[in-house]
Amino acid sequence: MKISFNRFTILEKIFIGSIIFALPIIVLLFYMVSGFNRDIGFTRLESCGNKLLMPLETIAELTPKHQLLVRLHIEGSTTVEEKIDHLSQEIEKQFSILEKEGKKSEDLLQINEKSLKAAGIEGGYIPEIYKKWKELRSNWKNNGTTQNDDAHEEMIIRPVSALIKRVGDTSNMVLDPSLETTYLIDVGLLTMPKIQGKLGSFMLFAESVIYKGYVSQEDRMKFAVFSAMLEDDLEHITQSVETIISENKKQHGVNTMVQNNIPPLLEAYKASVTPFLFILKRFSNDPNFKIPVMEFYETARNVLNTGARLRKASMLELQGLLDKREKSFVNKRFSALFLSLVMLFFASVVVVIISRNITKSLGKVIDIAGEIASGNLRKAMEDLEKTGKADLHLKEKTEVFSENQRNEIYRLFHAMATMTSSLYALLIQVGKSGIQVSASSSRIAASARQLEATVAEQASSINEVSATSNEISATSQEFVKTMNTVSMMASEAAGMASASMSSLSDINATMKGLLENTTESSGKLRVVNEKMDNITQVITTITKVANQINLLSLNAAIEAEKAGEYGIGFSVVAREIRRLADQTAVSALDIEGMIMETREAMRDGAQAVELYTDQTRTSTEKIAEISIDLLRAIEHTQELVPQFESVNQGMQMQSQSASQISESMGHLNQAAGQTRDSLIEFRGVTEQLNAAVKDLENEVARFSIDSQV
Amino acid sequence: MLFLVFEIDNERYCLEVSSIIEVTPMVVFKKIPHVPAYFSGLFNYRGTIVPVVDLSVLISGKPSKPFFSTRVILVDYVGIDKNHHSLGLLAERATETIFCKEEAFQPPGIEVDEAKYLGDVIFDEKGMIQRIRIEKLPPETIQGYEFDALKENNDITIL
Repeated sequence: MKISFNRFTILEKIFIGSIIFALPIIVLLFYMVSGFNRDIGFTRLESCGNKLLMPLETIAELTPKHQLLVRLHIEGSTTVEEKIDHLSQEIEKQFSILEKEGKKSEDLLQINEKSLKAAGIEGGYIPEIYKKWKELRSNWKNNGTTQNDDAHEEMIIRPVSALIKRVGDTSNMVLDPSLETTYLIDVGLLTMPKIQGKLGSFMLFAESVIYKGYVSQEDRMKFAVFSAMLEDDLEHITQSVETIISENKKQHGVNTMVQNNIPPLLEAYKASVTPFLFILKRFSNDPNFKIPVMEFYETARNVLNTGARLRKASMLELQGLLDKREKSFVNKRFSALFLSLVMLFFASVVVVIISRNITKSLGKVIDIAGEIASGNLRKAMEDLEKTGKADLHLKEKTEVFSENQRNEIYRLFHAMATMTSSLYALLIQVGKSGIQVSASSSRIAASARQLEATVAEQASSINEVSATSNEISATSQEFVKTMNTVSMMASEAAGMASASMSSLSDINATMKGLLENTTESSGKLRVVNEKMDNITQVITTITKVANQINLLSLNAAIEAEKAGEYGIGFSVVAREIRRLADQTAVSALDIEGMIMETREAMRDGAQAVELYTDQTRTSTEKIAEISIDLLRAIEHTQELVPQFESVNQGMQMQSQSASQISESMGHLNQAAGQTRDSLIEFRGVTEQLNAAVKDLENEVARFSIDSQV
Repeated sequence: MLFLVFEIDNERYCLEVSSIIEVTPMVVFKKIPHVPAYFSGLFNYRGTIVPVVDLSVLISGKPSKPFFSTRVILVDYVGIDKNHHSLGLLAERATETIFCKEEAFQPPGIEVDEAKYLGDVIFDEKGMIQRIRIEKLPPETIQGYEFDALKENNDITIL
């Protein structure tokens, strides 16, 4: 059972729960409505009965009157025929109402032919009574007094009162639930008709007594009993009416139809009964009391009329109250039903909204959980923010949500958000740590590799150093030997330097001679320069002359040309002169430049010679300085010889130290080898670490925490 | 016909002898301010003021070098006022004459509006010689300018 129930979704479960709740409500509704229906049916039955009873009572009241008038007519009173006709019409009218009402409710009130027969009320069927009445109405003039009495008593009054009783039973009048209506029924349907009937009968009796002319003892007794009974009934009616009024005030407030109509009629009735009672009492007390028939009859008729009005009013009021009650029951049923159904509908809507809200939220949570499970953490966080129910950035301020904490969905979303952000932070942390560890381990591996290389290099360096120190040892031994040789050579050099000093003095003298010669040639060059200037002047002069001749000849040629034929000879002369001039200074025109160049060259030469002289002088001085320096150097060389000895000793010691270093280096080399082995092992371990970190990163990468870290 | 040969920027040019008055050596010229660069200055020729144009500046943009062979060629030409005028032309190596016929000249094929005074070409064993057309020299605007300037400044009419 439990397992099969778990198969349903929450929505289905809520629907099942709602249906289970709705079932008893519907049942209760059904009972409530049927209760109302029963009340309405009851009231309707009463109403129908009342409607039927009204004409019946009227008939029951009018018939004795009719009987009395008929009797009076038969006994000789001709004036009443008109009244009889009038009364017959009234009765006829009541019968037609009765027939109409009876047709409507004969099944409801069980007054159809069949059920009346079964109940033993033969001849109580309404159409039958009506038929009998019609017969009586057409035949009463032909009948005698006794026949007429019988016809009235047997054919109409008795079946009518039987029918009244029957209708009173079947219409459940006696079971009326309200005190007010019960008393109205008492007044209108029970007591008043009874009194009226009795009064009708008593009137017949009284009439016969008055006609007789004297009152016997027995008659007086009857008068006394009837007056007592009438008084008693009047008392009863008065009390009933009082109860009706007070109940009516309680239920419907003041100034209703009942309160306005009933009491005046009762007062009128009382007022009419009082003189009648007085007459009755006079009859019972005074045997000689005489009263005209008509006076008595008028008094009695007055009582009958007011009584009929009271009864009629009571019945009308009853009818009004019953209608009112029925209407109120119908209204109550409608409003109860309407309210219940509306509430049921609203409850269903609320249930649907709540369940949809829950399933929607749960669906979202399930989706988000699915996204987290598939590693799509970023999407999950976005979805969570979209729901707006969980603020991811306020996870520390849990207390702020105390208002929402009663809502499970909010709590669920909040828990989800907290979980997601924790997971997110954790993943970021793990990712970061992984990256860091990875980087560190890579760095360690690289360092290890470097260290290894360094150690290897170191080892080779040590080897080199070892070899070098060996070499140094050997070299320094050789060096010792060489130093000995050098020492000797230095001694020799010292000797040779002394010899070179004398050569230097010779060079110095030669240089001085060279300086003198140079100075001399410089002077000569200056003389040449002066002479050159003279030459230039001469050439310039020649050039000027040639130029002038050229110009002259040119102008001559021009003039000759202008002279035309006369100038031809002159032109030839002019050309010859010009040729002469050109020969004189063939290139004189161009030489002017050349002379300048020559002069400049001469000047340059003189300058060069002077520069050379200066240089020679400087060289001589420098040679003198060098010879001094050389002297000093020779002295130093001589001083060097003993120092070489001490160097030699130092070298030997160095050689020994180098051998020792070489040995130490051998030891160091072994140690370096061991270090390298350890490092190789270390690198292996580092690579394993790196691989482990990579695995971890891959695992973390399954969750997309992408760029926005 | 006889032509005077001279050089400008190592190129040879010639001038009809019939238009030449005289060839004189170069002297120092009186400078005149606010005149174009090719206008070397004023020159006293036998008591007459003659304006001198440096052909080297006019043709090559460089002034003539101060050699002995650099001379002033005095020419006579008819100006826009239909009168005869004297004009000095400064040129390098004005030492030679050449005799040749008018028919020997050939058109150069290129003529420039700015230098209409450069005329036909002949050639000898040393290369080509271009003829200077004295009537086109100096350009008319410059002619007018020159004479107007002289009239205003010196109030001397050269006839």
